[in-house]
Formats: sequence, C-alpha cells, structure tokens
Amino acid sequence: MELNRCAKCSEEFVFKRAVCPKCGSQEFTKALVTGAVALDSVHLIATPEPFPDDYSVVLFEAQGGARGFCRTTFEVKRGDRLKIKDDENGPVCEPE
Amino acid sequence: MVSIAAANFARFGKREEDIFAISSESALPIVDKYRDAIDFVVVSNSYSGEFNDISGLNNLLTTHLAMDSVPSMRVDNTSGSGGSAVLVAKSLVASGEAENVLVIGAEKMTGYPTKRSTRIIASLLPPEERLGGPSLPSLAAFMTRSYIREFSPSRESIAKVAVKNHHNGALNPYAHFQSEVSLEKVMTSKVIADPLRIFEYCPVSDGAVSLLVTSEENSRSFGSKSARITGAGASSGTSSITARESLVSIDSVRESARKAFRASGKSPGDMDIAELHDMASILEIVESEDVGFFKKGEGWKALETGETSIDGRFPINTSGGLNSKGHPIGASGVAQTAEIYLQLTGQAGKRQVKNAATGFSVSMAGFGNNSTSFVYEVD
Repeated sequence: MELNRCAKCSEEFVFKRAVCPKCGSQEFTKALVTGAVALDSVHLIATPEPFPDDYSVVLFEAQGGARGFCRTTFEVKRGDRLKIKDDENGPVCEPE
Repeated sequence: MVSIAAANFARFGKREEDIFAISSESALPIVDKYRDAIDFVVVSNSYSGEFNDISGLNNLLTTHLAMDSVPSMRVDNTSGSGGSAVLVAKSLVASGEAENVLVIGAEKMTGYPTKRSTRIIASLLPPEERLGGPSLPSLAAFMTRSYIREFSPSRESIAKVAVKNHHNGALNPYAHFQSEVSLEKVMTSKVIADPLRIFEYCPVSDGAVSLLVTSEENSRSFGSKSARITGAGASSGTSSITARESLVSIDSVRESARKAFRASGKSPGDMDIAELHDMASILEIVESEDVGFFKKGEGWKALETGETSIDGRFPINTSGGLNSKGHPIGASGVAQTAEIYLQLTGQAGKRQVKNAATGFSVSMAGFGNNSTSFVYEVD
C-alpha cells in the first residue's frame, strides 16, 4: 500500500491531494506504508460493492502518522502491528 | 426576515411511484395555492443519476408541474442537500433575487440490492479511503466505539435513541416506520457494523417534502401560518475521515450551530425542540453535544432520563428523525425544516409539542463533511 508524501515537508497521507495541507507544496512522492498499528477495527456485515460480504475494516496509523483503512478477515485488536498488502480491490491487512 | 410559509410531505418509505410522482405529491398542495407567486424552485436531490438514471431533475420537475418558465436549480450536497437547499432559498429571498421559493426535497432510492446502495452512498468518501472497504454505517460504528471508550455510556443509552425515535415516528403519518420498538428488540437485532444494530440505523427510503420559503411580509399577505428563520450557519470540515483529530466530535456541526446561534442572538438553552441528523443512533448523541445542548460526553444521559423524549424537557427528533422517519437523502434536511415549521405553527398532530416557539435543525453532509444549521422562531 502506498502513501502520498509531501516532497517539501514530508507530511504523509493516504488521501491524494493537489496541495499539501501542512506547507502548501504541490510536489509529492510515493512511499510504502511501514510500521502500521491498528487504532480500531469494526466488523461489518452490510458491505458495499465490490467487496466480499463479511470482513472487518481496520483504522490504522502508519509510522509517519498517516492514517488509513484496510480490510481484514483476521481478528485485529487495538495496538496490533499490521502487515498490509493490496488485493484486487484495495489494501488488506493482518496482524504481524 | 425570511420565513417558512408552508410545508407538505409525501410519505417516506418504500414507494412504488417514480420520483416525479412522489415529488409532485409533496409539492402540489403548495403549488395549487401559490402557483402565481412562486418565482424560483430549488430541488434538493443527490442521487437521481445513480438511482434513477435522471439528470437535470429540477427542470424535469418544473415541467412536470407545468411551471416550465419558473427558474430552478438542483442542489446536491449528499446527505446535507436539504439544509443547503433551504440555505439557498433563504439567500434568494433575503437578497431579493426571488420572492417566493418552492423547495422540493426528493429522493427515490429503493429497489436496489443493499450492496449497491451502500456502494453508491460510500462514493462520497475519498477514493483512497474507499479502497479500504468502509461504508458510512461502519464510520458510525467507529464513532460509537470511540465514544464508549472515552465517555463510558451505558450501551443501552445509545440504543435508546432508536427506541425514542421509533416512538416518535409511530406518531408521524409521513414516517417510514410506523411502529415502536422495545429496547430488548433493538439490542437483540442484527448487527450491521459492530456494535451498532439494524434498528439503530436509518432505513433506505423514498420520499419527498416541499416548503414555501418567502418573506415575513409575503407570508402575512398570504395569510399563512409562518415560522421565521432567525439564524443560519454553514460550515465545512475535511472529507478525509482518517485525517480527523477526533471521532467523537464533528467540527462542521459544532461550527455551523455556533454561526446559526450567533446570527439569531439565541443560545442552545433557548431552544424548545430540535431535529438532528441521526443516520445512526450515536450521531444524535454526538451532535446534541456539539451543538451545545449538552456537555461533551454527557449527551447519552438525556436518553436515560427521558429529557429528549417527546414529552421531556427538550424533545429531539419529534419527527422520528432519520432513524424512523427515513432518510431519502435529498429530502432529509428539507424534512427537518418542515418538522420544525409544523411544530412551531401547531400543525404537528399527535406528536405536537405544546407551546413550542423556538427550534433548531442541523443538516449534515457525508459523515460531517459539512453541515448547515438553522434557528427558527415564532411569536
């Protein structure tokens, strides 16, 4: 899973932006998510297309402070360190 | 001063008719009475393209109503479309651009599998966040879990929002759900996004509601019962949920309410009734705190004491709220204004709150991406 990193101030975020909200730079690079830790997890029964019918959504925070969501079919608890990779629909994760 | 001079509902729920029939059912009683005076039509609708394969709904509706030459616009601001439409209508009248504005809030959403509807509604999330699989209901579940961790409410107090609002909805002939639910039934119903259960979420609904927004002077000359909009406030926050500092507070709700109260010269404690955007049970509690009705972390206590019940000190969501009345997205914010109007003018039937003279509503887009608040008064 990739993050967007501001080329000037190194602020990282999942959401792709045209302007860095911290320093106003318009130059970005890509960075891989590292050191992700689960902040919370919600087991979801009514899921949107194109995802499967039953999974949990994990809110995580990466090492540099960026936060994002990933799907999992594993039991994930707050504070768990996560391995994140991409499947055909987006990021999926599991406890390390 | 801008006033609401009429309001009319087409029942919310699963409707067989198309969006034109539902919209005209709500609008015709007003159009029949004020046709010659209406000089602008504002249509609140968010998903006619996705659900109905229709674009340009405003012009199609004015033609449907034989108001072909009346200027119109469609306002799309997701779940907050209705509040934005009322704000646009208020601004048109206040600026003198129009004198008498017909606002029609309408949405036709049923007939699709839940997975498809959930996808359409989740399309308001930032694309990179959507890839992680969240739905709007799952965001409410994250909020609930954070709220429970931070403030230790009883789980039942959150579920009691659904009990209260289904009670109110059962008194509202235009509500999607027309029956009460017990706390036990809510607490044993199907989990949708842990820990929230199906009765704690609004249903997918069709429905429409119409208003006449005009000046106080015109309202008097029409001989209409009217309620004044004495304060309005719009505010925006980030659409990136993961970028928010807190999941137990909604900045746009807090700021739009602050602006509306400042404009009106009133305070939260001056209000007799309120309509809040309870897409999920937890949202009524969090918004009731952000607006200033209760201290942060204490809104849930009002559910335990009955303070926000229809016969309580400060009734919230007398209409049944989105939770029971339903959430036809473009109609919801307009319906909040309509409910306050009906209450303040003594036209709310079995759910009438005695002597209500002031009211508040907050219409929220997305999961708090932006909000529009109003303060209303009658003499």
